[in-house]
Amino acid sequence: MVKQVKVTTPIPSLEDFGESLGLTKTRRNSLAQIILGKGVLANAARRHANIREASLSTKTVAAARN
Amino acid sequence: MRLSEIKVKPNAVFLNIPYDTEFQPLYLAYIAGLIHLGFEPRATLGIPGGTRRLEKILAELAGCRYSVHDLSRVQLDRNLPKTPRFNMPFELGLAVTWAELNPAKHSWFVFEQQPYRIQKSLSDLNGTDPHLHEGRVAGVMSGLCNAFVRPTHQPRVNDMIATHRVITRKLAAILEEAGAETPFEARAFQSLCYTARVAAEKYLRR
Repeated sequence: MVKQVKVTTPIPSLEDFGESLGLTKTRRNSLAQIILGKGVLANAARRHANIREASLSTKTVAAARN
Repeated sequence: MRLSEIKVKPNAVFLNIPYDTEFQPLYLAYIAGLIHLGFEPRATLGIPGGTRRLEKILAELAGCRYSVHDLSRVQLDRNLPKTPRFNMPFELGLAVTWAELNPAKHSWFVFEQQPYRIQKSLSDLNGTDPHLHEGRVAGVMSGLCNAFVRPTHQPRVNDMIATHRVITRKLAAILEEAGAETPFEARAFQSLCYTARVAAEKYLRR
């Protein structure tokens, strides 16, 4: 009979995992690029920028209304 | 710091395996497999030689909730003087002792390539069946899935193999980024763990 254990610890997020390894954000990005390609990260950054821009413009409109 | 004061990381796995080119596919298989199981692999690769090495190995082991010991490399190495490698059975001995003293803090697992060989090479372990991988990548992964069972998210060997393929294909770029010549360097190990985790993300989050 081989040994077996039941594992119930939660799976850490990618970010937590990278931090636990002691990797800086720059290194995490550069390693992720190797696997995902530059396009995927660039798209994610663009999406993030668009969301931020949209949120800022909503705030500007709301401020103008007030 | 005393060993008993070291905080045990519940998802850290101490990897005690051969570090050589011949073992490379299985080395990557252990990394990919453990990542899919939600673990953080740890290795002694970053620990320098010298008088404090043993202390540091013990501290690393004590900080891991689990350890995996691959005893498949029992033959003599090619370098003169030809010797078997005693580091792996030695570190297994440390883990067995540590687990006996602290059963709630540590569990160890033995992996082998051939059936019944361990009964000859390490008969003190009789009564403990090793997980057999037959020298195959999928064998390592099935062994890991048999050793570690996740009731809510049991990974599939096929998904582990897919991650193994990705990190094998991208190995040159990963080593270049790490500034390493071989995958058996501390920085390369760290990079391999992270890139395997990136590649496994889609399977872990579904």
